[in-house]
Amino acid sequence: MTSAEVKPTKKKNKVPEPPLSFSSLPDELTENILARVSRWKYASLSLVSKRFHSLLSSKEIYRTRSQIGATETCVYVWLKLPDHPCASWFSLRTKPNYQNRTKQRGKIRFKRGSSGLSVEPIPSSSTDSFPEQNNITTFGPEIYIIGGRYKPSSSVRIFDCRSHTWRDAPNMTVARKNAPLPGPGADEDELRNHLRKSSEYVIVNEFEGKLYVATDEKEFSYEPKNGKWKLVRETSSLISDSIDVLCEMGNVIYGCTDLGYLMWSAPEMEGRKWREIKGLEKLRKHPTRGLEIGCEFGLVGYGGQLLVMWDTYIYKRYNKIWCAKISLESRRNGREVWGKVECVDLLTFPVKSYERFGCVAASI
Amino acid sequence: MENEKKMITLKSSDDVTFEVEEAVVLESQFLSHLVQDCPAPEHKIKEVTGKILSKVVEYCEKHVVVVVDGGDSSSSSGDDLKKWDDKFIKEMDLSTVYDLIAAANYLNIQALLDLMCQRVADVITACKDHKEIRETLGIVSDYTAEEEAEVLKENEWAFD
Repeated sequence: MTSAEVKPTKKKNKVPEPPLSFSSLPDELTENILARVSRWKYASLSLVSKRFHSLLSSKEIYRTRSQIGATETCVYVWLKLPDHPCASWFSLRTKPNYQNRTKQRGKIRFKRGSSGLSVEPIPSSSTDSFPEQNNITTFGPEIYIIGGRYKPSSSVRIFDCRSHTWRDAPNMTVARKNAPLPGPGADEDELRNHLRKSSEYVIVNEFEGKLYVATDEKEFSYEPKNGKWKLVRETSSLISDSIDVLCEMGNVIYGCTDLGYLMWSAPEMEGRKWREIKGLEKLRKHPTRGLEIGCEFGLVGYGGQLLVMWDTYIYKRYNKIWCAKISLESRRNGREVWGKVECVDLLTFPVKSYERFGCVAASI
Repeated sequence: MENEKKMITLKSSDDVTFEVEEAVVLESQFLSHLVQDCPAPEHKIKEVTGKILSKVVEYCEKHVVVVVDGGDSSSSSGDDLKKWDDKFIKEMDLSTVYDLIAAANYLNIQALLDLMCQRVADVITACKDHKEIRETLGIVSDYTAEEEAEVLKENEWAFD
């Protein structure tokens, strides 16, 4: 009843005759394979052959990655170095083969290097403004840095995380069509009008096709489809002096206060209030590196986990930043969020010292 | 349901025949259309050899059984299935994998295609550099030395 006997051919040893048929696979299938390989390997892969190079240079491969769910979260960190007019950028790269070869992941808690992240310098932008938490956002594989903090400007710099190159946002009319981002690049006049009235604004999050922006205390929503701004509320509960950094993941907004409390807020919750993520007391209270004594924070979503970064050197900055990966669990019917520290790591940057830092994550 | 098991015969390009339950055939979108459109007892699949078709049938039979049995204990059978998949892949050399990729694509069996493409991706991931990738995949470089240097320069940021 069962089919013909199957005799699997076993060729475990490296046989001199190489498998011939890889090159005979059509582009579509080769692309399907390459899309599943980590993007950190793409540089090596491009050197294999012209065909590989051409497949990997096309944007199609990134579309395929997202279709088959093979995108990776890539974290970028910028540093303000003393006497440097431009931000210095670094990528946090997953160490090669880390995920595949290390089986004890998650078990070795609080061990240095356990995050599997290494710091790599990347080309810096020639812009003179430093990206602040409130004017930097990612849109798929691209990072948008909008204007400057104290001088609302129309300049938008875009970092393409695929090619690691910088460019200026296209002019307004083109941008209107291409970039549904309500930054000046997308709808300059409207955003500028809002910005004129306030010196600071925060892109809070994107929810159901709308982008939430808070200026001073007011909170606006922006609909890229028709370019309409709407006042959501006069006083935003999301903008609090104590919330230092924000990030969004799966429609939940996470924040870190200046006292090192990690918070969350879901849009479906009444009034969108901030609540503390439970279970992180140890991380916060640690005597020498606790979040509690952090003086600057970074927070990004990292493939379903939170990656929080902080430094604890209040008087003197060195070239190191702490980071912790935190997995999240929703409890009590979504009324509580619990965090579990997966690892804590001290990242070393190839600089002497820095004054400030920030981080952003892109999905590639 | 149990007693109306309909059997279908698949014939490979080199005339190896496989008698399978209809449910097995339904794992393949291509074959389910073929069986619906043309209710013959035997179907010749000219594009797939007996060696590869036997693997395809083995895979589909396993996956059908688990889905049917699965019912309430779906998570444990999911684990079993994954273990089975891992073993299925490990026993295979790369050239069989390529053939199976082509066959799964032709027969439109998405899960098998995913499994096989992932297998090649894992092999690539394990290679330390482009030379090892070339060697493993049997690719001959078509770059001149200058061209290669140029591509290297273009991606400089990505190397250690």
